[in-house]
Amino acid sequence: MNYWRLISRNLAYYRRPYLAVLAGVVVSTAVLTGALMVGDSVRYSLERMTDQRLGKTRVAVVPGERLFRQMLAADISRNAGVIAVPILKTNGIAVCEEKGTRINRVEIIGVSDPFKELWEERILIPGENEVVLSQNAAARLMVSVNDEVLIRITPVEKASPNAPFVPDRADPVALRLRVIAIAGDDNGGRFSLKSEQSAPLNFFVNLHQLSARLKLAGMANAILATGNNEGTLTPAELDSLTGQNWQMADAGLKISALDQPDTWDVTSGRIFLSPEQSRAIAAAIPNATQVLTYMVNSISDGVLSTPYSFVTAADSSMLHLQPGPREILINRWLAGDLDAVPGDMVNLTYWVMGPMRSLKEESARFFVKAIVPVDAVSSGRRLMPDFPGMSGAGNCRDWETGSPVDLSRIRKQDEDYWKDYRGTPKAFISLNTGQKLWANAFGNVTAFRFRAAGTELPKLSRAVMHQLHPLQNGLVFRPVYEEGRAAAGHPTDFGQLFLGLSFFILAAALLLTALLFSLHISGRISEAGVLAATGFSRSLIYRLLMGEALLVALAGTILGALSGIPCNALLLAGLNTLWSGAVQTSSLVACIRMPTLVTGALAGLITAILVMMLALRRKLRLPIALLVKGAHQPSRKTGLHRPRNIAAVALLALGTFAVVVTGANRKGENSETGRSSGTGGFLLWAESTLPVLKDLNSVEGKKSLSLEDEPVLKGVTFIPLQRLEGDDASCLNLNRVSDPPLLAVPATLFDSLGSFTFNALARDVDPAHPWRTLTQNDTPVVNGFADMTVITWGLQKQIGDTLRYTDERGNKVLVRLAGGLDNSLFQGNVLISDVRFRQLFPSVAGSRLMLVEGPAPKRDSIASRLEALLRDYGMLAVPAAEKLASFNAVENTYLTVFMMLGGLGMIIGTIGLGIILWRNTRERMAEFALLRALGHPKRRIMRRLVREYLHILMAGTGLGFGGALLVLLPNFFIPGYHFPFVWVSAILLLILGSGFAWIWAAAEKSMRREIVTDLREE
Amino acid sequence: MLAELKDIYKSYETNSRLQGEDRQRSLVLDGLSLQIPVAGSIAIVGPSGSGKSTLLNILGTLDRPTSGAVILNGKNISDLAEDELPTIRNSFIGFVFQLHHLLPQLTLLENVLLPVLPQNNKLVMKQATERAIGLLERVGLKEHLTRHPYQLSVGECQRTALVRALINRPKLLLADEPTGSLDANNATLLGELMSSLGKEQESAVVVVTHASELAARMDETYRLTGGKLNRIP
Repeated sequence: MNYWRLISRNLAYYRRPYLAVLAGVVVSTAVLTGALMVGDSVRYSLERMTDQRLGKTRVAVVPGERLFRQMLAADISRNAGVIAVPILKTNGIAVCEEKGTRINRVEIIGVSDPFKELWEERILIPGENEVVLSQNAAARLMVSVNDEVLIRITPVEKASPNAPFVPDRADPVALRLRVIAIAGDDNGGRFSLKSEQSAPLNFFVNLHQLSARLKLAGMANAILATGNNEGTLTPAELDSLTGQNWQMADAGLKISALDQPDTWDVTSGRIFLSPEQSRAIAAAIPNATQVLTYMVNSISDGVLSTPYSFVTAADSSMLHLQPGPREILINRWLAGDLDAVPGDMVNLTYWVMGPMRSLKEESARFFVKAIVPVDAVSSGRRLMPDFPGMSGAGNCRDWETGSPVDLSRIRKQDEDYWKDYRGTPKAFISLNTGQKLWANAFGNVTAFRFRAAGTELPKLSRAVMHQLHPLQNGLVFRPVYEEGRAAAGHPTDFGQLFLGLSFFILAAALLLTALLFSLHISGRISEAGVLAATGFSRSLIYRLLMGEALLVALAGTILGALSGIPCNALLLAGLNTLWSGAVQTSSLVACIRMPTLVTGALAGLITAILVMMLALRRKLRLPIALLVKGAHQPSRKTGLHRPRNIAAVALLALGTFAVVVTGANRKGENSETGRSSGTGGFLLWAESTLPVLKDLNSVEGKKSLSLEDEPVLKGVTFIPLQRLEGDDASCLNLNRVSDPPLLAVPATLFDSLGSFTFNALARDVDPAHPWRTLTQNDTPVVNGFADMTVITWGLQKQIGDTLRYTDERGNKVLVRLAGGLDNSLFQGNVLISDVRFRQLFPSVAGSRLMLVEGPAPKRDSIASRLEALLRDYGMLAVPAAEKLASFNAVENTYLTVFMMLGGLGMIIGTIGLGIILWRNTRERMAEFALLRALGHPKRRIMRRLVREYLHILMAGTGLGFGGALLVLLPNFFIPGYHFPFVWVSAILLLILGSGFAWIWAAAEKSMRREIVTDLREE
Repeated sequence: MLAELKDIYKSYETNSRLQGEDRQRSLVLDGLSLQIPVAGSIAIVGPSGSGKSTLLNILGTLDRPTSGAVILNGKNISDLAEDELPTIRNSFIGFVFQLHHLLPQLTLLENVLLPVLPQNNKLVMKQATERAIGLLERVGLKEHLTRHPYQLSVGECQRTALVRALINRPKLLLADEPTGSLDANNATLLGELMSSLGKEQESAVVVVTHASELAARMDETYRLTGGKLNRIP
């Protein structure tokens, strides 16, 4: 005889009650492990998605505002020993006319043969007029192989439409293409450079066809590169290689010969040379002369006026006669036209471009210093920059300048001048003066002129490029794979989340374990008493019983941990289907990791042991004399007068209350409309595929989109929001995001309206006027706001932390999170002031996002009219409250999950209720035996017992449900609030049904006992 | 003296709130004293609820007196800490209860050896096993060593319980209504065995009983009434 034999005998003899305890442990451990495994599975799925979306791509130049040669990729590839593939990426709208389907905001990716080397699996590269679609795009468009689709492509342009004299963006290019393949997730279908789990709507088209149709033949805007064989090549090394291999065309620069021998100019496809480029050229070609040529609206002397002329600002090296700061040289033609002589004063009027291509006419006065020949400067007509809408125009009436041209002002002599001299400047001012008047965010030089032998050009080009850094032209490799894996490796912690959501099941299973163990020990109390009487110390008895419990718990946790696998599969199935709104994907796959199984098992073991220790400690506290008698403390109290029953009612009530009140406390879509709400009081949230370039509040802007005569848009105000694309940091993205989109907001307007509410602010932010913080331009870091949930969960940061960005010129920019908004429709973005945004990213043209203000009763008609009128822009206008509700939908989905799992927990909890009632019944056996001995039929006693216990069940659930309804009452008055009636009813019915079944079982079991046994025990 | 109770008082708190009264204390033992000689035998009789079992529990260290001294083998154990008592119970005292309280999961032999387990000594266990077999043979149960309690009669179980109480050679054997659940024949047999084995083992026997036949087998008989003991000549 030894302790092990005693324990093994006990386990074998009491196998049935211990099996029940084991079941409790299995459930609690399975829930724990299953929840932890969901965390693993989500992380694994995101990592898998990173592999799927990037294939062999490790680093990439992500698409920005700049273009470069497709051949640059080949140069890098050759020198770095990696596969580098150029792509041209834009977006657009896809239509299948046959099926009558349409999708906005699709990704259009121009690819060529090398692209397939980035994938392990075989993929098809589309030829001319062919397209390969991702699975989800094909499904949304309802097309299959050989179907025809029409795509409208957002143009990609060399020059930013924000630059002066660039014409309004060209109309979208339309391509009619035949579907040749549908790319699966492993065949590049998920290709995306964004760390997001939602599947992109990809349309792969032929790179050469796309670039040709966009008039960008040979150009690309992104490079994808693999790692080298050793896996040692860093993005910095690739940047360095880019620096060694890039050419002037990769920076948008061009050297052209002028009329005179050995005379050249350097111009930019972006019209203005950036300050960095100007500095580089000045340093590399010391004798180069800067030129700034600008178009003026009029040159007049007060009486006569010459419309639309070019004026060049240059220094003395080009102009043999240098004008002073307020002097101008005019050519003979102009002098004749104005009847001007030296000493006269002329007035120049010209456009200055503001935000959203808004134009402001300004003027400057000059004294005529001298009259010069029309050909005073050689190759004069080449002084006019290569304005996309003017250079090729046959006459002035064909100009597309991006600024209004009053055709009635153009006279015959103006047309003649254009025919004879094209854009030859009619006047010259000093470079300094010109740059003061016409410098803009894109630069203050339109050309450099220099003399050099033709043979020197390659050397000079290299010298210029050597002075420039690719980063300054947006040509920088990012470790996209590493970033993607890092983002996927630290996602929203679903393990923790599901542990929280499964709280009720866990609590119920642990309660059940404790009750079952306690019930079992109650039956062995006299055994403990006898052991104590024969010389076993309490601690020895405790250790022996806990030894049994430990072995049961150990078996339970092993089984439970293994049961966590199907449990995880079940939760993932829910997330992929019923609750996919919370995760924005249906591609989550299970991941089984041994450390997680062990962690789940250990956590299950510890919690099970703890609850059993507590249950046992209480039982063994009785005096030994009472233990020997197997003493239950008999109570004559029944029903709700019995403390244990009150506890059961209280637990039921609390559980029901918590499940219903939490699960049904959903946010209605229309519940928030005030200024301080998450909608900021705005009516609509409008998003388009193609950017709207102009301010739709202006007559000009409305005219440009034919909105001026729309009665429904009367009194409607548009607030355009420019955006720098990044990874969505809202709750819709499960990845940890490091570069969320930057959204330019009108901080002054928000301040004056008192829009939105803040959850937290940095100390230096004025709580009365938080938005003013964004308008401070004197700070070294840029102040930004984001939703507090985004800061905490999406970015995993705190107020005061900073985010790193790179501005358009390659400078590092730190954005400080100075405040956290309460839930707003800006979720997922970091907000900075529009003024600061335009300084940092002047090329970001127009806006794809607008807030719309207008009369609330006309909300739906405004939305539908906007969508109809801007259909070709892919406009989608939704009520702001609905947009906010789309974020709430994630929260609401979690609430549904909580309610379902909580309900399941409650149902398991009713087994506990059955046990409590069974214990009560056991303690009242003698009472029932006496009644039976006195002739009361068994059935009647049982009915009485069931009725009594049903009161407990009904009281508990009724109190809980009633309390929850009271708390939820205000929600019923909120328009749009949806009470999950079906779920709540189903859960309540299941709780009541399960409770009734267990009560019946407890009563039935008690009635099976022999009267004599019970009477004798009494 | 082997054991002595000196001036023992024992009262319990009763809850009389249902009658609208405050908590009260009920006095069960009222300054009671008793001396138990080595290898002597004493029967304690008295009406139900007179405190006989309480007296036996105090003597067996299963309960503590409200005041007074319990002296076992010359040592006052009233002030000993809870964790010192199990050793005394294990080595000095043997218990027989009204119900046999054998563990159904164990065989008769294992049930008998249960009190040896806390000593945690293989050699002692080996010797105890031989002794257990001998004692079980002595009470006529040698054939049932490997049987479980539920396979035996109540009388056989109660005899096994007696052997279990004697397995550690206790100096004091305490029996609380040992024949209360037995028929007349089994009660007689158990009484004989208890008396004879007590003498053979040189154990003092204190038995609480309603059975006059059993009481008559003891050297002395006391009646417990009003919380005090009176010797019945």
